[in-house]
Amino acid sequence: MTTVLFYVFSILAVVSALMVITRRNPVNSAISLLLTFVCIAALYILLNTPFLAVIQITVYAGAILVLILFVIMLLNLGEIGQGFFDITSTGQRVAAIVLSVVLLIELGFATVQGSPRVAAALGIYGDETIARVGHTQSIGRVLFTDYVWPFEVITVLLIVAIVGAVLITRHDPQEGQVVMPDGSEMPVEEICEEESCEEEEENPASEEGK
Amino acid sequence: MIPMHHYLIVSLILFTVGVLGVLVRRNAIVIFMSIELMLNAVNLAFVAVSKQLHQMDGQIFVFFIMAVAAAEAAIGLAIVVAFYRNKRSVDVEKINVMKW
Repeated sequence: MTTVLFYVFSILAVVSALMVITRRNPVNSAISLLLTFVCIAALYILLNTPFLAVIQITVYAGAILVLILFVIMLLNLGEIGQGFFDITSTGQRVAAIVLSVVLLIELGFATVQGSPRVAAALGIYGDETIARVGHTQSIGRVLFTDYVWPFEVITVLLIVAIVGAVLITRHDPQEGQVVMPDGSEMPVEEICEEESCEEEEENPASEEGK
Repeated sequence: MIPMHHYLIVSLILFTVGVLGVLVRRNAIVIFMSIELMLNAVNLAFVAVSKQLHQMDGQIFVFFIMAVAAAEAAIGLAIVVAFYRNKRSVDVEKINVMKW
């Protein structure tokens, strides 16, 4: 039963991951990514780590994916390019194929060679311990004793990320003015390259009509 | 009980799919989703090895990777929005101001 479920969810995860990178419409990609996240959460359940399955659903499917979908709909993004291989340079296509195949072979070789050697001294968190203590409590005990300092660093990282995101997306208060990080305002012409600003200046009316 | 290397093989296939997505797509949002895919593949490998060794450390790292992925999502999408405001597109081939 467990084996059947493992193969079902693994194949579903790989197929939906392939759909993420092959769909032209980014919304379809996002929905496929949701399916991948749910399948990986199911694999966590099969690995007997229910707490990670729950935060996989809440953090990835609940927060990150909603953020991605929100940006897609906010910017009203359409399709770019012609289907799957939409990069234009032929050399880059060949390089992408070659690098992916080489990476797959290399990782597969490392897995086949290395996984029998994963037999270091076993820790105390075997299945019996987790069944007795509970998975959430086991994680919490390690997280707030051995890893309490990295945990505090992560909180600082999240604060910095929030402040950075607000700063990067801060809207211009005046047309043609950009707010610099120190709060002063500068005209767009002084900041942008000429090439990138020309497009906006040529037809501002049609762009606002979108 | 499924052997650990089965999980690792699923993980490496997902990681390679993510790498391929980053290399062949032009849409910045899809590239972003491919990066999330790679992070998930690494998480799966961490959990599989952690269960095999009866240790919690790998699962704590998954916890930290999820926090970093959340921060990366916020910053990455902010950059996408700022880029869209300048260029009216999220095509990465138009990010060429600093290209040699």
